[in-house]
Amino acid sequence: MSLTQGTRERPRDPLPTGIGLLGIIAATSGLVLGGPTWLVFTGIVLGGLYLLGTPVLAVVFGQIGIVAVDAPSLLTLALVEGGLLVTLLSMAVRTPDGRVAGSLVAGVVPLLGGVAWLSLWQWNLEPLLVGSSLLSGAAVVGYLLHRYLLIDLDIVTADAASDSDIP
Amino acid sequence: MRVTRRFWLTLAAIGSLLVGGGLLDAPMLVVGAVGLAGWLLAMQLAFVRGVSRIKNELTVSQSLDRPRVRTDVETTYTLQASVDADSDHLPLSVEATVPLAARMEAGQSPRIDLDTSMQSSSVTVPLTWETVGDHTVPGPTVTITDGTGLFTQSFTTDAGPEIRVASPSVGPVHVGQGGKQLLRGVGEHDARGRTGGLSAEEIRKYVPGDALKYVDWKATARLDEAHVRNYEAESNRSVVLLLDHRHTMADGPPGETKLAHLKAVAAAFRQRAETIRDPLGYLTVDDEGVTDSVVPVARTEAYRSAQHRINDLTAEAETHAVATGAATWTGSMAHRDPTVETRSPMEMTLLAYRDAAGSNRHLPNQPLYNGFQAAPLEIRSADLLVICTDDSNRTELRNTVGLARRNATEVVVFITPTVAFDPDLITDLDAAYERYRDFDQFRRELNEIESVTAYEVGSPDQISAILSRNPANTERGHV
Repeated sequence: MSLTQGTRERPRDPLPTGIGLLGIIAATSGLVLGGPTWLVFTGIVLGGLYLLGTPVLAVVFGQIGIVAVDAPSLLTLALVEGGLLVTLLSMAVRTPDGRVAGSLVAGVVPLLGGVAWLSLWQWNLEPLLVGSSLLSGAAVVGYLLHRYLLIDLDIVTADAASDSDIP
Repeated sequence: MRVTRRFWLTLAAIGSLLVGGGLLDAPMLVVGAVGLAGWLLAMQLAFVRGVSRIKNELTVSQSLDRPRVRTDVETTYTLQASVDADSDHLPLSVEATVPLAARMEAGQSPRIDLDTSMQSSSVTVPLTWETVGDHTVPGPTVTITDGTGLFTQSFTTDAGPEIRVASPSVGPVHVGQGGKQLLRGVGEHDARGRTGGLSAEEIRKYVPGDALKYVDWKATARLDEAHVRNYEAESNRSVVLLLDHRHTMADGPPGETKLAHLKAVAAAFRQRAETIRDPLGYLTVDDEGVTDSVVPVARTEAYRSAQHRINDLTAEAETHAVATGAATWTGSMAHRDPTVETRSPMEMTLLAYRDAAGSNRHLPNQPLYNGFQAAPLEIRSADLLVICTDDSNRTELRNTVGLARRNATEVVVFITPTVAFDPDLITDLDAAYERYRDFDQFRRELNEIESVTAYEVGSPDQISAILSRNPANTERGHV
């Protein structure tokens, strides 16, 4: 016998699916604007992936799609990258603490993207070197966040050497 | 923090973009990889913040409907979780851990799922406790997931309520004398002992029955007459339980045997000793001799050990010839003489008389007496010795009480009259009453020994049925 009771619910906020689709449309527009017409099918694929619940894949394919564009103009780049950023933002604002998550995404993604852009086009660094360096930096920050959470939850102490088993 | 399969897929996509960008010399793919990595990092940051927030806002409580319970009795366990937040929170689940000592009727462990918009929920399940002892419900595990399914985090909250599980009760137990109920609670005794303290109270003449350890030899030499010194009790007195669990103790209906009744009495003394921090020890004896012994100590572990020992005592039906009496003592435990079972009855009898001539006087077929005699001094010289046995071997009990009286300060004997546990009791109540009178005469004999108090222990109904044949209809009561 099991009895569950005393549940109270609040009305749920509407999901920002529309914002994500708007981003997909903007990215597709950019691709079609700067590249061949068949790239419109890429837009259909991106929209399908987004609606199927795999927005990350939609962003990946959108990024691959821009490679197919020869010498993309600034407007094309702005539309595609902006559209994909809005898609990622839509996923962030969908989370319970959407305002904070959205702010973080809106700050961190352009920041890292901008650093990569500068490294590649302004400072002419090796793409692989730039990518691996930035990803390594992100991994270190991610690990530090992981440790911080464990300490905050009293799962481990601040002294890492004294913790025999770290989850 | 643990990452999910979706996280690894996202990481694989990032890696693919990075490698692809490097191999194809397509910087835009690298930019995409870095952007996605930034998104992952931002989501992790948001998750860490959300978990920290929940930690402060989440309240998990566990409760049981009672703090004390007996084994195989059902209790109601309630797990409640609430999030004191104005806005949505990360989805979480709270899963309780059922203690090993408890059993659930069916299904999985109690679990609460709080969706992003749910603020509180509770679950109630029945738990049946199977193991005697003090148990604590472990803290439930809270698992939080993020909205995108990339991360999870689990942590355990504080432990839940404590519960004391006791062995099944035998129901009302009659403890009294001559059919009259003992008015004072079983186990209660004066906190101040007649002797055994630290500061001297008075010196008086020796009277037969005084323990030798209290003889004041200087005063005796000075006054040319034996004197003993009474002490003011400044410390608690030591209590030793001498528990008989021989096969005769299995008499009676299941669950209401002689032993079950005496276990209730012994448990009361143990409880009382723990309450007032009296040093407690015990000595258990079965058909073959001493089965366990602990010298009196006033430690929590000792009280628990005594409780477990009392609960675990069983009286097995006799499976072999009872030919014991040569238990030898080494350290704190008695070890049975391996040659005992190979000796003939004649050898046993002769050896007993040989031993009787020496200081170690063993009597044949008297394991209670022999076990107590071979016990360590701390047990034999207890301030209060509580003997729990029956009247199957009255000579042995008389010998044991006499021996105990010479060593211990005060002796209390609880005897289960065999007649009160006879299955044929109802068929001939007149005969049963005569047997009870005989038993009561024996009990009175013991009771008349100085510093010895003897009580009868049994089922109130049985004692009542026997006494109904008493012409004077002896007054009695129940506990």
